[in-house]
Amino acid sequence: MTTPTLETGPLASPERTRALTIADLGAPSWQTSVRLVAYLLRSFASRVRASTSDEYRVSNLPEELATAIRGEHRDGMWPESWLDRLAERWGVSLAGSDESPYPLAAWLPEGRVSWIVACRVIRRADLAALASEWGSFLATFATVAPSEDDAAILAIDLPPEIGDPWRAPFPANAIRPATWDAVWTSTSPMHHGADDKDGNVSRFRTERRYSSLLGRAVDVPLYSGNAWRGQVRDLVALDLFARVGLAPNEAAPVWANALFSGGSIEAGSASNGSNAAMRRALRDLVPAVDLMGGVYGNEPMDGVLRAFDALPVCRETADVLAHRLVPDVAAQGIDAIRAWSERLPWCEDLYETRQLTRHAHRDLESEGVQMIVRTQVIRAGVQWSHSIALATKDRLLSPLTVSALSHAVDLFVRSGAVGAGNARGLGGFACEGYGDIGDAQPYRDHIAAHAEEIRDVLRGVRAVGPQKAPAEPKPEKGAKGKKGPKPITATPADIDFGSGT
Amino acid sequence: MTLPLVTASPAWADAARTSWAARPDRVEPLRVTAWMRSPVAFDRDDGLRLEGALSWVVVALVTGEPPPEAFAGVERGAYVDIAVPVADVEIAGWRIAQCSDAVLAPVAAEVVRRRRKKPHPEAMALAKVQTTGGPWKALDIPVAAWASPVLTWYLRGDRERLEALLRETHALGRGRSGGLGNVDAWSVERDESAETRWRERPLPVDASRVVAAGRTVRVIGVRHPFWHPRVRTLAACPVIA
Repeated sequence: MTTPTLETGPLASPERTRALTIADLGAPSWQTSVRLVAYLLRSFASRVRASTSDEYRVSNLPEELATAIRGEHRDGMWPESWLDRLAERWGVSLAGSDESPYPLAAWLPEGRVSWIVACRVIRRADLAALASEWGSFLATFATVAPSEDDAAILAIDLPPEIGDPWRAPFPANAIRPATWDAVWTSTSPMHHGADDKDGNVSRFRTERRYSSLLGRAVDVPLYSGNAWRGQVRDLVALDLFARVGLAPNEAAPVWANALFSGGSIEAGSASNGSNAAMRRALRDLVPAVDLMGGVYGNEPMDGVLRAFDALPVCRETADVLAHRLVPDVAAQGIDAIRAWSERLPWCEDLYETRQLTRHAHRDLESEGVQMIVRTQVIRAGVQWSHSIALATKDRLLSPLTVSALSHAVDLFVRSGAVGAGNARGLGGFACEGYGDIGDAQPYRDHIAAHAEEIRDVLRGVRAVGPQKAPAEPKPEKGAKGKKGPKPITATPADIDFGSGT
Repeated sequence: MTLPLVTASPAWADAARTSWAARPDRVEPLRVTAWMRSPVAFDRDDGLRLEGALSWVVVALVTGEPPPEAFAGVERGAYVDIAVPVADVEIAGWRIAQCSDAVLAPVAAEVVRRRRKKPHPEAMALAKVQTTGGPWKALDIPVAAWASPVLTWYLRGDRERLEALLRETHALGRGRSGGLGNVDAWSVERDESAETRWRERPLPVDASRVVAAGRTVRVIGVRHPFWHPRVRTLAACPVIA
């Protein structure tokens, strides 16, 4: 018997045309879900090939399908919704159309199952496991020719289910480090780029976390604390330059890079011990440095700001957010928190997709090509919980550092935008602030009073901190000594960071 | 002679000992639990120890400065013993804190968090800013982290002082200024099992002794700060599954 190919079609079997019912498929099980998903995707791939005229997309189908199987899935999603999203992505009809007059069906060896029947039997937990772990496997199965080994290939064993999942106890009489908390309400969709690529879809960033309320791990969207720091660092740096009357590109590049991006250590720079005097002087002169940290004059400096990840308010995050959002409920215990969480949306309901089209403008005889980009966003109206803190609050800091934080938060709240795509209307939010951080005016007064000195430092014409004699040069190496990397050339003027003891 | 040798003792180190060392009459077996809001980044083989984070807070509280500034005047490479409210014990000639490595929840899972950094070429007075390499390189660094709803330590320590320090400890592990290792809440409870479970950490070994089953011998830091070369020695480490 010859092995069938895609061109010769599925293996011939007299039973294949028999329409199967839900009863024929038996009780839902992992094995049934695997078979139905695999055969549905095989039919789906066939339908995509038949209806798509884009040759590149057809040839790239296995790769795109492998990423889309996971990318289009969200925790808790129904199989119907998942399949619908896949169909939308390739523009094929599940219900049937002129090109494919019949509804999509899974062609099992024992008969065919309409997709609406199959989806009633596929369990959501099974689909989640398949989508998260078996994307490439399923895409390969769907896009290769049927084989006599199909049944064996699909015999995947699942680890035994845990009947009573482990749940973290909820903290009683807990010590809670002091934070300032805010709730952002999105006034427009929000985007924060994921780490993985998924064709022309920019996914929202998610991370696996365990919900002790639900007793399972879930993928939850988040806006990372590091991204928040980066955004606030930009705002604070721009504001600082404006207040001292200097354009960023009038400053020495190393200073601009340090203030906007955190700086970097020069390759091959000699480590001559920590220059504590310069560090202290710089923290005093520019409180934002004490707040945000960075590398200044090859000195990595700790910032005291601690930015937490922002999490959406939904059922999957209720266990960690309850005590911040509804402390009265949290104080009543786990049952009250669970009851509260059941009024929240599932995170799968927070997503939507925006399509952006760049037109080719062929009427202008341009050489541009049309481009369609889709961006997965968290929809407007969703609320996010965010917290910030200062390391060793109230016992360590200069009052100006706290004032600088108050000013930075004010800049952020007034900016009214968070995440990516602000220029195309994404990321708008409303927020009442982070509570009583303190008075921002002392910071503003300090910058105004030291504007000239800060301006000179940023331009690289004035040193920070006390001076000391330069370190003695290292003895020259012999012929075998390596030539060190080329140091960064500071422009427009050489920069002297000072070097007190 | 007990190792690590203390080779420097700035004035604040005595103040730290007076204010934050475990008082012998207050030492009791304790279980410390951290409820985590985000994944914590650390090297699983090296373990996540509480003393390191506590010593950072002690230095900040006593000196009013972060450690790099507080250590100004201390000769490079010198070892300063920073007091924390965890009882010490001597094992194989080394002074170590009686505190276990962090125990992850049974449902803990490894995740990868990417930390991105991009330069702002338009803000820099340069004709060309190379972002693919060199000093202005844009970074996208994957950081392996552990998503665990809780972390637990078993220790023998001074509860009152420990709780005061935990109140100031917001985050643990690497990348803690930007969202990783954030702690939502701490709890400290008396737990008799801590009398023995504190040993679930690297324990210095005498080269002539047989190492207990279930442990592997490596060179590792056994006293905070764990990065310091003077605290590294052969130790029997718990085997991580």
